[in-house]
Amino acid sequence: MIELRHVKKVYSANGGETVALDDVDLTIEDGAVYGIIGLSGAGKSTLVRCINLLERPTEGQVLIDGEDLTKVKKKRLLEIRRSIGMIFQNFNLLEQRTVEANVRFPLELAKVRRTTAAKEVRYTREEMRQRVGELLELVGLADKAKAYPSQLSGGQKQRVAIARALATKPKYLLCDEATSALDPNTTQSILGLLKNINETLGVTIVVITHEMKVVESICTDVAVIDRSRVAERGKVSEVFSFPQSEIAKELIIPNLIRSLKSTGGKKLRLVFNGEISDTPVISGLALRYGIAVNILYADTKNIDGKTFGHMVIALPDDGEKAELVKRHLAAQNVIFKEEL
Amino acid sequence: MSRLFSQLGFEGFALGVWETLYMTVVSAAVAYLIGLPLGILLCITDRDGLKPVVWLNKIVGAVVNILRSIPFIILIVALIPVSRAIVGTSIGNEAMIFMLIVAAAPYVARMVESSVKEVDRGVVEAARSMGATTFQIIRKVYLPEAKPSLIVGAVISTVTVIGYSAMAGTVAGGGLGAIAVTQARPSNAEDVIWLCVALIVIIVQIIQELGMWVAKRTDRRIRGSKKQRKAAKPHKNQDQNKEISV
Repeated sequence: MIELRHVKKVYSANGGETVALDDVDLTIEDGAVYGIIGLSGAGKSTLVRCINLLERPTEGQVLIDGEDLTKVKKKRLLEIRRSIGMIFQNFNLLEQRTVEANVRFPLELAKVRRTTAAKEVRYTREEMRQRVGELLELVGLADKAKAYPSQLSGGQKQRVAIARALATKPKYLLCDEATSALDPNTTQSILGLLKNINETLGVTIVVITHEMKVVESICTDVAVIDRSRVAERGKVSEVFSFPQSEIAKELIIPNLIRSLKSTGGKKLRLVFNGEISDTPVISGLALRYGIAVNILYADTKNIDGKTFGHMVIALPDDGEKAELVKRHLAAQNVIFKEEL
Repeated sequence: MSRLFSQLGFEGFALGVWETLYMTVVSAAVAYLIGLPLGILLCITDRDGLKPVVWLNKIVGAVVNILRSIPFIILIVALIPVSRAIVGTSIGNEAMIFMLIVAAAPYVARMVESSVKEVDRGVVEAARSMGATTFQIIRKVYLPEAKPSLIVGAVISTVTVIGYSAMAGTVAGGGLGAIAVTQARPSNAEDVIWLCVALIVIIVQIIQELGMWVAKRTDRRIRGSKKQRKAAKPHKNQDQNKEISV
């Protein structure tokens, strides 16, 4: 479990001070895929670097499985870092090493404790070779073992980086804007790989991103960061259905907010969070009660026969009709909220 | 053909070439042994380096700058007593080698510093995230990743040393420079001067071309087809403006 307690990070440069993180509390349970989302400059990159102490918090605690990283000795910190893999937006591969040598790199750095020996020893050549083979197989790049990074595409480079990050069998994997430099298709395939790693290897994943789609497609939990603080956090299904904070609304349903603001009159916001199946709710209104409502905004999608997303409809001015609409929606188990 | 030219003959010029190469190679090698760790030290103790030690960085930086700003011909004169104390003599090739080392080591240090600083910070950060120690980062990230650039720096330093070595005549050392300045000039043996110049140019050319060829061959970023080279380039630029949100 990763816990951040009252983490504050202040950069001081040229006499001025910049607060990058302010009183951040987060708990990331084992097995989660935890999304941290925010606009650029919100502090999310600093936040993820505080988890493995690449950035040392000015105040607060960083607990990894109960151990406070801000208090441990240097040697122990390096050990703990080996149990936390990390991948980056720009992949950060060693350009002068082949793919397999890149994946081998963390193994060269690390020592392992063997049950038979009291002291820690280096991995043997054979162990490294075998592990590298497994990892390249896992990320689907076994045929590129001898290639150099400059010969690979962005998606392939990120796969190498993932293999490298997993070499020492870490319990956690931090992803800092890992898909931001990739095209949509490649992003999907990398996200699929991460999801697979989470499910099959049980690696807890922390995903830093500014893209909603990333959180939507793989995360179980999400925290929204705004101006150095956690604005909102919770299960993705909850936060995405009912974003509370202004920033979360802005990020999750920007067009919806815009359409609410641009038209007058009473409106209803409908939330589809997968609990009702694919019934034509709005056409039902027209067919049953002869009430035609204006759809001001709709962004819904169908996943496994369930509807997810948001819709905004204009409420009829006639109060009776408006009541009918609400009753009909309630009968259909649609969650709705009146908005002005 | 001047009298000096025939006097020197093949053997005279061959000795000149040999002495120039000997002084250059020995002093460049020793200067590199001193300059490499100094350059790494300058890089990692920098304010935003791996292990910032600002006072040490300032002191080493100042010494390096002072030594680099003294014109070599003046440095030779200044170093005469120092050379006598350390090498035991202030004349001849050995004294010259000592002076060349003093002049070249700070130069190498700056070259190494700039090569190492070129290594992508993101890659260093990745190594840190894997629990690499500072020493491991130097040995497994900085040096291998900067290798092509380090080789280019070494070539440039060596060529500079060849130029300096021509002043060996001032301390009664040998080599092509000494032949041209102390023997050929007083007797107006222009053919000797021009042959010495030509030989130095050839030596420089060979070292330069050889060094660049090795540097290019070891660089894995630009190997492969033209297409791959193109594909690799924009990515390099991206690395430079790595965004860290604050």
